[in-house]
Amino acid sequence: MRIAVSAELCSGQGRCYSVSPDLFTSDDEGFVVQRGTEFEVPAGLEDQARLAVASCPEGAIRVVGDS
Amino acid sequence: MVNAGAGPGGCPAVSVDVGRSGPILSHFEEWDGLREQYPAFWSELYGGHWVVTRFEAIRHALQEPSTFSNESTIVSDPNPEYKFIPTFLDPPEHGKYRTLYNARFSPGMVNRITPAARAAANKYIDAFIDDGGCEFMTAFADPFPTDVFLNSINLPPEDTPLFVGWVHAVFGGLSGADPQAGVQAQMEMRDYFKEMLDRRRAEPQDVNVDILTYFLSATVDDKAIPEDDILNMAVVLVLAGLDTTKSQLGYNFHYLATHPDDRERLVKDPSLLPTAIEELLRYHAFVPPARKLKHDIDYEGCPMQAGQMVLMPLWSATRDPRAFDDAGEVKLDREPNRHIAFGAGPHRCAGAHLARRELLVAMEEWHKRIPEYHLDPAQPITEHGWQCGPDNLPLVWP
Repeated sequence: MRIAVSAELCSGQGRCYSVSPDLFTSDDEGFVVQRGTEFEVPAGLEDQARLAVASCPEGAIRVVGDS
Repeated sequence: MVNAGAGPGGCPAVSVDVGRSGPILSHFEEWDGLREQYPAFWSELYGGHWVVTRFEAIRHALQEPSTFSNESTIVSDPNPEYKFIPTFLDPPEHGKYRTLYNARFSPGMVNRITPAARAAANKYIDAFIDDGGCEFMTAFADPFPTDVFLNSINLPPEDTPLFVGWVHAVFGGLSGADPQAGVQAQMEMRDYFKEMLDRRRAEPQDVNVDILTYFLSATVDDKAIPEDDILNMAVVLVLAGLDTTKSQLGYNFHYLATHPDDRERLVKDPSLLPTAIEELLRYHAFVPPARKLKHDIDYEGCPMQAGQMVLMPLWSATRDPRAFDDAGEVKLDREPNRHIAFGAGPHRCAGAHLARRELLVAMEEWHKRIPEYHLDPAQPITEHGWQCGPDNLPLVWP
């Protein structure tokens, strides 16, 4: 499972690192460190990834391959 | 049903007054009906403006500043002669200022001030706990967030009463109660910050803690920020940060005072509080942002024109059943919850992390000490419009 965090849409709401702390972390400004990246979700964290996708108020996180 | 007249392009014209006062929760409930009837409509009130009501359209507009601009965010004043920084700026100019705030209001800063926030909550609770009740808005919802906010930007918390008075006067003025007092309060705030800036120039503080020292040392386009702009930014910070947390505290405690089963659940299991707070934010998203159209656009079936204002009450978005299952119900364990109570797009509330922590600390500390309470049935509770909030919240406890 791969996910992507849009640098354009991410506004630093911080929901992803709050609900999925094993997958996402905050930088010094409150943006998610993984902003603007695409990466493979480590095995076992797929549920956290799905929760982060569904929790993002900006719709900035998506599963790669999904529309 | 709200009957509509004919607006521009045959779109419905509905004159719903977002600025009126009424019983508590009445704005949110009114818009639950409006949203279902109309995805967008024209209002003749406040100089005439568009209104968009549904989650996807509101979020999209807030994420598209090239069309929905922050040049003005006041529906009745599309061409203001004043400028709020960074509120009235669009990208890329906005980002140059906004970045100055992000690190100051980051999760790290919030962790740093949490012990002081807990002490502040208990200080205010100490003052009334033995009285068997309090007027929650004045006894707690006003001073607690103000105290924590002043601490967070390294101003003296002892100045809390001054700021409470100024914020009352400004928002009272905006709602039409006494506009002159609102203008006067803004001038007094500027004078206060001017004196503080002089002190910081004479004796600079740690830039990681002290926001005024930081603003004095910061640059935008490689130039120091003019003092007038720093004063503007400081006043905007106060106006954005204080009345909002106050209203949210009021709505949260109103909900828990009237829903004893949910309150008991949180008292027994405080680990549910962070999720519950997100849900209470969603249910009572009391901020109505507005944007100014940069060019003509057909949006939600309406022919909107450059220069016109568009009002987008966040409560209408966050209670939209298209975006949230059982949107009209509070579910304390709702997850996921992609609400936009802090807005969306580049102007997303810079103080969101601080606000969340203030709400968490207040609700944790309060329920440790006052787990049972209810409304005083003898007193009607009213709500003001625009940036909605409870006017009063009389609580009593055993």
